[in-house]
Amino acid sequence: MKDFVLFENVCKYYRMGELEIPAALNVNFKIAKGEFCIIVGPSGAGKTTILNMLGGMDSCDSGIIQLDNNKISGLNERQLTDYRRYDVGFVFQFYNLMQNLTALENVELASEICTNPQDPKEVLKQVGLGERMLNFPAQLSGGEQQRVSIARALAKNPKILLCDEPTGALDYNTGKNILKLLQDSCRNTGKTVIVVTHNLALTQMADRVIHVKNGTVIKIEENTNPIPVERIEW
Amino acid sequence: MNIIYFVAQQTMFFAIPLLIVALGGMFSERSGIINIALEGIMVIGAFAGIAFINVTQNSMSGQVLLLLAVLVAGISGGIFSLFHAFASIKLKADQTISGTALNMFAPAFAIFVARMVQGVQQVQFTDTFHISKVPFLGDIPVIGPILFQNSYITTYVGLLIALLSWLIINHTKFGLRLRSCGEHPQAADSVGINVYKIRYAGVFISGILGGIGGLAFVVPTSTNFNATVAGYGFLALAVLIFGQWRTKRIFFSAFFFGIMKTFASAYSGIPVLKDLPISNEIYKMIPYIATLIVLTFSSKNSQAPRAEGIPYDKGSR
Repeated sequence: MKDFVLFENVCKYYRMGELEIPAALNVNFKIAKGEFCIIVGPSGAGKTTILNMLGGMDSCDSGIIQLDNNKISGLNERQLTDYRRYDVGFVFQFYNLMQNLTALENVELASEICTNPQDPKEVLKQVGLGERMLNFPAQLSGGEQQRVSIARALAKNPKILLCDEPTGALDYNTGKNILKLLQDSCRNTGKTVIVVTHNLALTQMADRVIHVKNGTVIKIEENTNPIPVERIEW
Repeated sequence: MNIIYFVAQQTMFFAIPLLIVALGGMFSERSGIINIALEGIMVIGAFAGIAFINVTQNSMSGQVLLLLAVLVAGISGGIFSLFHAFASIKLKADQTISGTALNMFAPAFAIFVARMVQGVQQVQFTDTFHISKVPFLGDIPVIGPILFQNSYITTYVGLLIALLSWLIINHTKFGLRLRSCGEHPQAADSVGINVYKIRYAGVFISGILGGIGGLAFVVPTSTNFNATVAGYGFLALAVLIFGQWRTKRIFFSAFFFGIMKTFASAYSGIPVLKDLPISNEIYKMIPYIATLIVLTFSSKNSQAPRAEGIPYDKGSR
């Protein structure tokens, strides 16, 4: 299972009137099942575009994207919605929680639409929010809200967990805790986790690091000895 | 005691249509689509329902006919609302303008068709639906006279709709998804909810309920349909806002407005009010003044769905 995630010559352009701006140019990489992978690069490099294409939030203009031997490139909108529903868990920088739903309801929203969900209450306990299930997002701290959104992503039992700058809005220690939670989910449950960040220091914690610049992959590193996030300082 | 029963029975005629239509508005708005087309949808629903009664009343009568008319009104209202859904979901049009267009189109359509078919714009019907007393239930003390005497079957349809709406919005998966689409469609989309589909469903339900509400308004209060529902669609919007987009509060605010309306139109049946040296016009103003006052105070801490009125664009995810 070397090619759990596969990108082959993937290109994506954004059109602004007459102008065509390339957001991804011939992107090639592979990620194995169960890996903790970090996509790193300066802002505007195309990290989020790559993540969104893999998560079925965006379509590519050419090339092949595969997850678990299923082709994602070329799916239509309806198929992409199904794909997001069953196969992908998303974690965003600004949490994207429903403000009018409790933490538990936010997780249920995701778990109730897929076939093989985990118990929402159990997942919330796993992420350390057993006591705060009935609170609304506004009553939770940033770190706690991010935990809810991780729980929401995990509850669906997705094939892959995609995190877009998950610590971008959090302070140093809270961010570390969130990354530890993600790393633990990867190690303990064998879930493939992909994290997008601009923080180069974090690359030490990943099994695989994909460096992106100007829409292309410039370097792929494999880490045989990833460091637990607790021991990384930045 | 009789006066209280009289007021309660009158209130039902006004409150039930408001309740049904406001709940319809709730389904649309909590999915994220502003529906000010409720007035137009009511007109179309009432028109189709009354026209159905007009055509078939020689071969049928009574509650079966009314229930069938409710069905016709609901379906036609639902179909009519799909224009609004198509414009505001698929074409991403301004939802206020699209709703206004429907409001202007509906009475014109009703008048045009009525005149083409029968020469005059009033569609007549014979009221064979009045229930003077429900057997057995009407004999219960207090509740009997309030709920089960001098009523129409639309009252019970309305109460059933209120109960179902509460269950659907708060206790089903569909309700959870509907609420999430009105609150944060981007996040809903990212977990794999089809925002467009849910919003179509929300608007369609509001069309069905709006159509039923139109019929429920015309049948107890008139014997013909004259291409208007007297601004009830807009009053229902006020109920929806006063009800803070929540089923229970909409229920109570519908009855609040219903009572106000009863004072306005039936005050001459209430001796205490009739004896007061206040002119007719003042009473007629009561519901509208109440609307103004109530909205002034309640719209400040509005709990409107956050993404309401914003066309969902996948690009801004």
